[in-house]
Amino acid sequence: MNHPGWRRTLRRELAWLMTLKIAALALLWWLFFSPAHRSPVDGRAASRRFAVAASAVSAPPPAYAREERRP
Amino acid sequence: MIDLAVVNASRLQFALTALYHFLFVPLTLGLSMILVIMEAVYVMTGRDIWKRMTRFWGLLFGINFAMGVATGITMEFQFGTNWAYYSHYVGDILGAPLALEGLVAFFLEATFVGLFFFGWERLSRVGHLVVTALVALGSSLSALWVLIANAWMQHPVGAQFNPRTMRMELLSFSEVLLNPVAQAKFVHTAAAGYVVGSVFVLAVSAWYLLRGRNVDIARRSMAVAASFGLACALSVVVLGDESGYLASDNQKMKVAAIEAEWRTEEPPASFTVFGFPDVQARTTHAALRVPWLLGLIATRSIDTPVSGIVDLVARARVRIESGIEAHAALRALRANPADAAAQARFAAHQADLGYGLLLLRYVNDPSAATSRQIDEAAWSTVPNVPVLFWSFRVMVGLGLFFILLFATAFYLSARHRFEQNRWFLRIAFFSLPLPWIAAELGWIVAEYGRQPWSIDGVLPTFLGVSVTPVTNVWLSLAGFVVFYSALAVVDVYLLVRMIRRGPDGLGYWPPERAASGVP
Repeated sequence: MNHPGWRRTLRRELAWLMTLKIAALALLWWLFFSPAHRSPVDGRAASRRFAVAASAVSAPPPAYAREERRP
Repeated sequence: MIDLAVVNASRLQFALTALYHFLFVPLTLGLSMILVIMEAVYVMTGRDIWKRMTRFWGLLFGINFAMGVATGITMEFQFGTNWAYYSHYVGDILGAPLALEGLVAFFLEATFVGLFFFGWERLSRVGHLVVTALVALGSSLSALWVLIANAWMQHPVGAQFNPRTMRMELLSFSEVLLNPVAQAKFVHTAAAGYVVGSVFVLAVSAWYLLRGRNVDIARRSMAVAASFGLACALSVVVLGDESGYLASDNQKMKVAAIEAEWRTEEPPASFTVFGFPDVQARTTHAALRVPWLLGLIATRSIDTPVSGIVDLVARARVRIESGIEAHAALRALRANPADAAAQARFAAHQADLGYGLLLLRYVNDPSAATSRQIDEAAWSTVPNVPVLFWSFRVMVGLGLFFILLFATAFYLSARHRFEQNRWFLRIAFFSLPLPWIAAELGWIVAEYGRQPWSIDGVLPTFLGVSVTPVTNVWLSLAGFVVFYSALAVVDVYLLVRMIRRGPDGLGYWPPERAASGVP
C-alpha cells in the first residue's frame, strides 16, 4: 500500500502547499484588498454618490449646460 | 459625475469572468447528477462496469469542478473591488444567500468531492453512493443560493430602502428565499446544466464508439445521457417558458427587447420568429411573424397585451418624473431626517427612486434635468434589442435541437443501434460545444437584458461601481484574461488527455475486455 514514512512526506508536502497558498493569498490581499485599495463606502459616501448630500449638487456637466431646462 | 470608463471596464470584467465561470458550472451540475445515476445502477445491479463508468466520468467531473471553484471565487471578490457602492446598497440582502452558498453548499460539495475520489475502497457501496449524491446536492445548492441572489437582482422583493443608511435593507428573508423568479431560474438553470452534462457524455461516448474503443462503457453512457438528457431538455423548455412568463410580469422591458416588440400590438401578440431589429428606426425588418404565439407564451391569455418598447419607455418617463420627486425628498431627509413633509413625499415616490437615479448619468442634480435628459434616461431603460433578440432565438433553437438529438439517441439506444448509425455518432460528437453556447446565451439574455439596472428598477448599474482608477480595473482585467487563458489551456489539455486515454488507458476498463461484454 503506502511506502514507509509516507506520513512524513505527506506532512512536508502539505506544509509546502499551505505556505504557497498563504503566500499567494497574501499577495492577492496586498494587490487588491489592502487598506490602500479600499473604497470608503458608507451612508455618507452613498449620499454623495446619489447626489443627495448638501455638497453633492454642483453645476451640470458642460455637455448639457447649453440645453434648455426642463419645463 | 461618475467615470463611465470605470463603469464599462468593471462591467466588462464581471461579464468576462461570469461567462468564463459559467463554462464550468453547468457541466459540474450535469455530470454530478449523471454520476449519481451511474453509481445508483452500480449499487442496484452490482455490475462492476457501472462503477468503472462512475469513476471515469467522475475524473472528468473532478477536473471541471476544480476549475469551476477557482473561477467562481474571484467573482465575489469583484463585489468589493469594483462594485463597492453596489455592495453597500444591497449587501444586507445579497450577503446572506452568498454566505450560505459558501458555508452550506460549497463546503458540503468540496468536502464530499474528496470522499468521492478517495473513498472508493474505504466506504461501503451505499455509503459511497450517498457521498456522490451529497456532491450533486452540494452542486445544486450552490447554484440555488447564487440564483436566489441573482433573482433578487431581477425581481427585488422583501427589502426596503432606508434613507438613514442609504441602502436597501432586508425586511423578509423568506420573501427573498421564495422569490418566484428564484424558483423558476433555479430549475431552468439546473435543467440546462443537466443538458450540458448529458451532451458532454453523449459526445465523448460517441467519439469512443466511432473509434471502437470502450464500447460497453460508451453504449451504457450514451443510454444514460440519452434518457436523462431527453427528460432535462424537455424540462428546460417548460421551465424556460415559466421564466419568460414571470419576466413578462416583472421585467416587461426585457421581454419586449427579446421579442423586438417595438409597439404594443392588439392581443394576442404575434411572435417574431426571424427578423432584423433596427434600433434607429424602431422597427424590425423582414419580420417573420406567427400570429398569437407571443401573447399565448408571455401572458397565457388571448386578451392581455404584451407591452411594446415605445409604451414602456413612456411609462419609464413617468416613473423618472416621480423619481425626481423621490430624489428631492431624499435630499431633504438627508438634511433633516425629522422633516415630516419630506417623509411623506418620499413615501409617496420612493418606489421610483431608482428611475430618478438614472438621471445621474446625465446631470448632477435630477431636479435640474432637462426634458431631453429625461427622454434620454427613459430610453436608456431599453437594453440592446438586436443582441437580446438573436441570443434568445439561437438559445431556443439550440434547445429544440437538443430535444431532437436526445430523442434520436434514446430511440437508437432502445434499439441497440448506435454503431450502425455512424452519422448520428458524428452529429453527437460535433454537438459538444453547442450546450455551452446555449447556456452562455441564456446568461446574456438574463443579465444583459436587465440593463441598465444592476437591481431591476432600484439601482442603475453605473451607480454601483467603486471609486477606483480605471487603470486598476484594466490591470486586474488583464490579469484575469492571462490567468483564465492559462486555466483554459490546462483544463482543455487535462480533459482531452483523460478522454484520449479513456477508461481503458486509465485502467478503469481493461482494453482486451473492452468489446467482450459485461464482466
